[in-house]
Amino acid sequence: MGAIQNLYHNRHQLINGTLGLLVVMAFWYWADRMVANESFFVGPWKVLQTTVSLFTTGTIYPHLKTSGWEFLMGYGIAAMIGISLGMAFGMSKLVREFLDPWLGGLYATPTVALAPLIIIWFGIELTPKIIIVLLTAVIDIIINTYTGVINVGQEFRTLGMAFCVPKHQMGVKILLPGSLPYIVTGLRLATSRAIVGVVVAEYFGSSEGLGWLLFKALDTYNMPLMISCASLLAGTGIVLNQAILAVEKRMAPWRDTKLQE
Amino acid sequence: MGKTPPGRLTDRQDSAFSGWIKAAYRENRMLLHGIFSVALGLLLWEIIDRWFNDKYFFTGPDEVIREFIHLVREGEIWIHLRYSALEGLYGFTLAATAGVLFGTMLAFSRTLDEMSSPILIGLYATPRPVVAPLFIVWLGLGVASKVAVIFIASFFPVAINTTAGIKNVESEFRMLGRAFQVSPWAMFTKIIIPGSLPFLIAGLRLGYSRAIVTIMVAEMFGSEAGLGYMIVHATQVFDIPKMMVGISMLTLWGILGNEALKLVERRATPYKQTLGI
Repeated sequence: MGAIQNLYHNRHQLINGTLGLLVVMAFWYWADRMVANESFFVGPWKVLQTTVSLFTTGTIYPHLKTSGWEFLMGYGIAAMIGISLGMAFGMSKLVREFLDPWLGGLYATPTVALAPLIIIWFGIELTPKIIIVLLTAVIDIIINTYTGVINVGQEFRTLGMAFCVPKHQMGVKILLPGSLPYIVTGLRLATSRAIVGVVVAEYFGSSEGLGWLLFKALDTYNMPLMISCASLLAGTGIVLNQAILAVEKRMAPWRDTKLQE
Repeated sequence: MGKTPPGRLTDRQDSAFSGWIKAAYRENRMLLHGIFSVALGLLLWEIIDRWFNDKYFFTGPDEVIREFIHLVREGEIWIHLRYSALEGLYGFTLAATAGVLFGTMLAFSRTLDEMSSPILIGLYATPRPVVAPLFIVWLGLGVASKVAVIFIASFFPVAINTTAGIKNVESEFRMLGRAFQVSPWAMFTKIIIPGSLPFLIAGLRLGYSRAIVTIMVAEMFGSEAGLGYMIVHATQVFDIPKMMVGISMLTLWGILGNEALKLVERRATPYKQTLGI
């Protein structure tokens, strides 16, 4: 008895977490049994079967490739532009004064609403999708980098000034490393936004991709396919989020990263 | 908009001989540059429009305003505005209430918190467009399915931030309360609520911005009316001014709500340093 208590005491987080997941799974299974209508609701077992068969028959690979490419390109460019612009905002007063209204506006705009416009301008090839992903993801990176630069300790700046460090070196050697934890937070928040961007972009004109597969499933009332697509996209979001969170905890263990937004 | 960051060396010494225009310029530098920048942007927009001169491809600010007036006169826009506002209001209010209650519950029960944390984190990271089709199949094309999706989108940031806020109330304040033997009620209303307010409001702001995005996303998948519906349908007939009116309305809601919550934030937590966005 003592051993079990001990085990619970040491691993209570893991045990309770697993318990919670099991409760949800059991509820899901039970709900499926109660509804018993496959075009309306499907259980966890059926979803797993569908997902496995998507992989074994190989139908999923072209979709994964298309969506993955859109995500990587859009997110990569967003990271480059976002970090540079964020640094510019943090370092230059002129940039701040001139671009602040635009940043505020972009922050408040639901960027997914711009998707149809971008499709009209750039067609239905890869480019407009990359731009949509870029637009949805970039704002979090800009704002977090900006916050990071502003929050770099005054003593480091003073040190740099005392040694007459030129401005570009101040940026690269002091402000960039100092704001790195914030930048990583921005990159993490941007992953989930970028996935939203991928799905929305594929809605407005494409013939391939996970988002497209999701809409096709909706059109044909293919519930198992719909839920397994949704789970794949959600799973990607969760894995990326947790992976970057781990990096964040390594870089700045003193910050409670759960709260940053 | 933003606060001046530390490290800026001010040059105030020449204010004695500079005229009041110069002084006024310096006082309102931020505002003036902002207005100038926005005006420049609008001008550029109009020039690009004149250059393309193709109303099925690009549209200038004047046409957007004309289209807006037209839609108001015809009364069509009111249907969409009402529909989307209803969805957003129901969804966000429900999510905020439930999120705060649930978050508070989790903050006071460790077991419950640990049990639900993998699920909360998972659903928090789930992209919202993914759940929209499911709810449309379950609840139909009407308001109910959108309210559900908006609820899902804004519930998690509110709940997570509430829990974090309550847990982060400095333990010295709690100890002070205990030392003075305050009642649990007073402890909650006088110490824990004010202490967790900054996080709570941050959660509400995040939830609000997610709700606005989700209005668009949820209506995209199938709806009877609404701003997102209007945008998608305008796209299909290449009616760009109408599309821009829809986008501007959603943006306006985003800005207004964000500003209102920022005002609340400043009132409730005047000591907190914010970026101003």
